[in-house]
Amino acid sequence: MKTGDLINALVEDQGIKEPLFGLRLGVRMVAGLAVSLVIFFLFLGVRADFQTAMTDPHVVFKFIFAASLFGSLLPMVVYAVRPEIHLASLMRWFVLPLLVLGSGVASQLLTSPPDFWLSGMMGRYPTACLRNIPVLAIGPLTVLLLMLRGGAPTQPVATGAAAGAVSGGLAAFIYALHCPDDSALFVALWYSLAIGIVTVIGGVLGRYWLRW
Amino acid sequence: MHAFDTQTEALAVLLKKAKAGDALAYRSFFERLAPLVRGMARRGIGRVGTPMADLEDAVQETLLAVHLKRHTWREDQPIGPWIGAITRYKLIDLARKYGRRKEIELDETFDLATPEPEQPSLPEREMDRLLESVSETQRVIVRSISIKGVSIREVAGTMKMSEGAVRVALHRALKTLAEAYRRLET
Repeated sequence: MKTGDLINALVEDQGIKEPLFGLRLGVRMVAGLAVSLVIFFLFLGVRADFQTAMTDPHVVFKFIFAASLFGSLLPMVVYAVRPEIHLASLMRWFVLPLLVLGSGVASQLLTSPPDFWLSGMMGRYPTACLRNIPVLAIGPLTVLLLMLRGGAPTQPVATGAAAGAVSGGLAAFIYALHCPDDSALFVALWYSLAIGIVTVIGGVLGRYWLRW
Repeated sequence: MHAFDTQTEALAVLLKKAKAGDALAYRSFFERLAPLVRGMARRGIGRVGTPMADLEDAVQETLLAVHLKRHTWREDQPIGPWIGAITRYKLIDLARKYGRRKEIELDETFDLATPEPEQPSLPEREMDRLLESVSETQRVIVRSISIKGVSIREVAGTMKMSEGAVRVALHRALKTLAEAYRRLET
């Protein structure tokens, strides 16, 4: 087949419109989120003392941290559908969740006596955190990877990892509604670890799924 | 530099028209694009040091990718970097087949590409071998439309299929071809 022959076929194929992934993303994100919420309400549920807990700034901190991670890395995932985008240039937004995490930890260290640091960091349910955040991330991660498959990401591993981190951030936000461990030191260790697991899974899946 | 600006500007105009449904514009888009991609691919392959015999395969894979991913070009963005990135990505694919993974240093300076016409009388292309991976019907459709230059309507007539079914089969075949090429890697 000569290149001119191939062009004949490409030109004839131009009638079929590809879906607008930008438009579909919103709908699919809601679907992915719905999966997480169903799992959440079936197996976990909102903590009983939610209203009183929210008066504690370190509980609020968990949500801010999760939201900042989600918000700062979502642009990376959305832009990654375009082949000419260099993800490294978007990595600078990652300092935002790091700053949030840093100030949360600093505040925790300043407001609680050193004797409580270790017990706060280990919390009561670290293994539940490590299990639940990745499970809650499955829906959003699937949605993001499917969306990215329709695009043209040229850094498959990094793109998958970013999708994992974003999904982990969203999952952490939902899990924080349930999680009774409120120390920022717990968040710094176990939430980060759980989100890290989802990030690695995203990177590995990206390596195989996001090639084109 | 100015000559290049008008080149890419023309490509952008043509692809815009093509996306709006202008088939003639789409054809001249590819006819202008192919020599540029060829020039860039020659430089890229030369830099990586893999056989130059793959040049036309790389061009064809790039054009196929440009076609299948054309919705990822945003019309308010310059088209040069977009094409450059796709070409580079496909050249990296090609380099991987030879186990060159880490050491490839390719740039995306598509604007330095020297347009280069296709060499006449080349051996069988990779694309022909890859055609073995699609179904019999799809293969006949792709061959008729590409090599024989038959229109979708005529293919539908001879194959006793609806035009819509031929369209779908053609589109699926092209997607499968792109996938099959990727799978050739180790």
